[in-house]
Amino acid sequence: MYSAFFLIILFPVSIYAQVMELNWTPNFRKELVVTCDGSDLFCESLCEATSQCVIKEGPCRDCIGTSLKINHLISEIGNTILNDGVVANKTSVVESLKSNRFVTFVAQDVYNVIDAARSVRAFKKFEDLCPDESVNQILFLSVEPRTREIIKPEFVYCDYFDRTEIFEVSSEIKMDVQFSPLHL
Amino acid sequence: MLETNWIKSGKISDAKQYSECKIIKKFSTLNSNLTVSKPDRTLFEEMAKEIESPESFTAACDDFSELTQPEVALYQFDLKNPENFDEYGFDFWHSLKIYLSWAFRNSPEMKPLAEPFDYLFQSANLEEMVLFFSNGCQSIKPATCSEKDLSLDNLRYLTATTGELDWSKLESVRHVPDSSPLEEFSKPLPLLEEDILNLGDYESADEWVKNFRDNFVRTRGYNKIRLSRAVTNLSLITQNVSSELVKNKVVKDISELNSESKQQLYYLCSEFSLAADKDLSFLRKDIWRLKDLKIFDQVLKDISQSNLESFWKHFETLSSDINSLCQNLKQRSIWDEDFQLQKEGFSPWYQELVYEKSFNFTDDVTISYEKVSKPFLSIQSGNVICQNGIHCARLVLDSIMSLSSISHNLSALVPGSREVMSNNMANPYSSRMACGAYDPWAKRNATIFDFFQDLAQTAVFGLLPTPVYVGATLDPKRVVSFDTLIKEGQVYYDPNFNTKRLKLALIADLGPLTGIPCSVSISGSRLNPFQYYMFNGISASTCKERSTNDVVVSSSSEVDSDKNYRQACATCAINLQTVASSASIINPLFRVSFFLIKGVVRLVSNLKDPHDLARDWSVSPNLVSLSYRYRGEISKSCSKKLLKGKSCLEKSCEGEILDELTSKYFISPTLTDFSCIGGKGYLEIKECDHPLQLKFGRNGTTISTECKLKKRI
Repeated sequence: MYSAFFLIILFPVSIYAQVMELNWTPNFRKELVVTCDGSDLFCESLCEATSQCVIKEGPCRDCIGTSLKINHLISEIGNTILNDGVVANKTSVVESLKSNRFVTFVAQDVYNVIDAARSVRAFKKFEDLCPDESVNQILFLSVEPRTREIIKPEFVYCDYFDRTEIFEVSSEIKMDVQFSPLHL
Repeated sequence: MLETNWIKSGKISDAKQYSECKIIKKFSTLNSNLTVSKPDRTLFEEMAKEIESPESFTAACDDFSELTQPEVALYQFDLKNPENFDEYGFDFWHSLKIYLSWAFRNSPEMKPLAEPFDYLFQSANLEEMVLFFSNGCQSIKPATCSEKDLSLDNLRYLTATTGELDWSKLESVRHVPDSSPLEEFSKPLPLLEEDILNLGDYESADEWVKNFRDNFVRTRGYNKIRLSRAVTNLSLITQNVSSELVKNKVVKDISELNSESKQQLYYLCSEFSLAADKDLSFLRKDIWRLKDLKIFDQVLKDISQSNLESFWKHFETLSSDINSLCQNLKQRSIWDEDFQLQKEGFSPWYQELVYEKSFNFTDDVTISYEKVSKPFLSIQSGNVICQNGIHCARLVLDSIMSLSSISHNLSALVPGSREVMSNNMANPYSSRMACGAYDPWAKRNATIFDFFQDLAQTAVFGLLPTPVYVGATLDPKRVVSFDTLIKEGQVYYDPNFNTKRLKLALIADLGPLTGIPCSVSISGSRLNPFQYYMFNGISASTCKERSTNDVVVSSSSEVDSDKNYRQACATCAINLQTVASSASIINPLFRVSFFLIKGVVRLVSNLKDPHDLARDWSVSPNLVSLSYRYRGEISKSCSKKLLKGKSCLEKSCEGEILDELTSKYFISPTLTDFSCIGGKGYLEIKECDHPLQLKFGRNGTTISTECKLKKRI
């Protein structure tokens, strides 16, 4: 409890000072490379390094394929899967990455067999995940640690030209209803 | 683990001792259907030739150089001499599937095989990528009369060549499929010689698999997108706007009609009437089945926070409200003489059903709408869900229609379990037998039994007015099998009757007969087909355009409608419930004779049936091969012996020597002149220009020849 409180104090600012990139190793394994500028303790908390952490991403059960879950997920990115507008708590992000209970999805991904490779539609969907014009987006999804099954989308990383941000992904979709029975 | 589970005795320890794995390169007579109803000498000769050259048809399982299509492969697993296999065969295949799922992701043997993609392979959805099926009459899993198995078995239709596949006739992509996979039973059984898996259409097995896989993936993908879209729409609508609010918005929309929204309102009323009208919709029964289905539970958990119950409640109330709203409209003032209906605006399911629009994958599956400045329901990010109340209501119905159609094939198209798929698609008899709809071994007895059953029905149903009349008449044994199914808890269909088929059958069987209350009425308006008048089993609708199917009626004294429209285009329709009961009330004698005639006709036609009497042959491929090698051909008399499981070779000393030689070498004897008593002689074979000189002694047979003989392994 004490440590959790301590970390929250450490990361009170909303702007992130990290750059995240996904790499593929020669044996086709996904790696998340987090580069920190040293202005906060993000990397240190994550991997006890000051400038860079490399996290090997675990398998994603049934993600290479067209299961209904993956199909639905990819179809709904940018439609009902949207960022909440709420900047993610850094402690939660670090915790998720550290425990390796996550998988990542990007616009051009081996997990996306629904959209055609390099399709404009796929890029557009991911661009819609970030509030402003961004150059890179990474969707983080939580997974069940034992089976590696996807549970739900959790964060979205947005890389703008001059800054980066991580937002929470909303579990409740905000809707507009333009009618009231009183209009009758 | 597999071996331990399978072979309880523990005698066999090496899998290769009892199994063989081959890549199928080309289909042979050994792994396809019979090309004739009874095996003959031509078939045996073809079989023998194929056995002689196995390299043309199969390759070793790990010989990847033989694969012509990188994304697909067809493997054959042969089990060698499995003792008492019938006792544990199903368990074996079931265990194999479970083991495969585990081993693919976790076994250390997979890593070197998959490198450098071993990590990626762990993320692959294996269970959707592999399909086990038996290529013969024996089943790979117990045939059960469940919707799941029936829809899986029906995957056989996807083996048709893409260019020749009529997607419109494929239940798995239709917007409004027939009411259940059991409809399959109404189709005639394929003949023995019919190539039901279309194996003969392809030069290589890979091409066949690729075609099947393409059709399957396409069908599955299409349905998943349809399901995903329907669930998203229903979730967003039911969570955010109540059915009452949608109805109120529709009322508001009606008060602000323009030319475009008149079209939309017309679509709304027509679609809800056809799908959900309590009295007239023959789809209603099938759609209403949804509310009791449990098969969506897991699927919905995967992709939505809502459940089917909440969707259903919303739809049920809304459909009742919309139908009532439409029936009370001042139709003539809305759809006046200037109104021109644009058919293309109807929902895809309506167009398919009413206008018989053929299916095309590239067709837009979204429904038309009128764009407004302030949409009724939208996501705050900007994506519009419903433009107005009419759009919202139509979207709810369209989504429910999607769920209803997908429910028929859900297990095959959206597998929910973590098990590799398997089916009995090569065997069209298994599911029929499991459902009690076909019993080849009791055919003769059943024919007689059926006749007595018909007689009994004549007695029973001649007296009792009951809709059971329908099921018993249309589909022999159907009533019994449905009953069994329901007792088994496998299928949840109403045992009464299938309205859609009944309608067709009634028209076909009873239409020309006098005394049948063919129903006729004329709508008060020429323009709206959803306005019906109901009386005594007679109903009809009018339409703006006269189609070839319509029956024009001049008048009906029972109809009290606007005289100006009496000559309008009218559709003769039958109110099925009323017809069934009125048939018994009006003319019980007719019903008695009807059943009797049916029974006699069925008895005669069944006894004449040349294809449906079961036969059983057990032919040994080794004996076929040996006989062919020995004779160089299969004669008619030899063919008869082979059919009885016997060899064509005489059991003499000479016969045994030939047996030995042909087993050792790839040779085709054409002429022999040797005797065991003389101890020598010669043998002419196709493979060598000179005769082989043979000598026999205590040390066995020695061969002298200049030709190099190819040894069998």
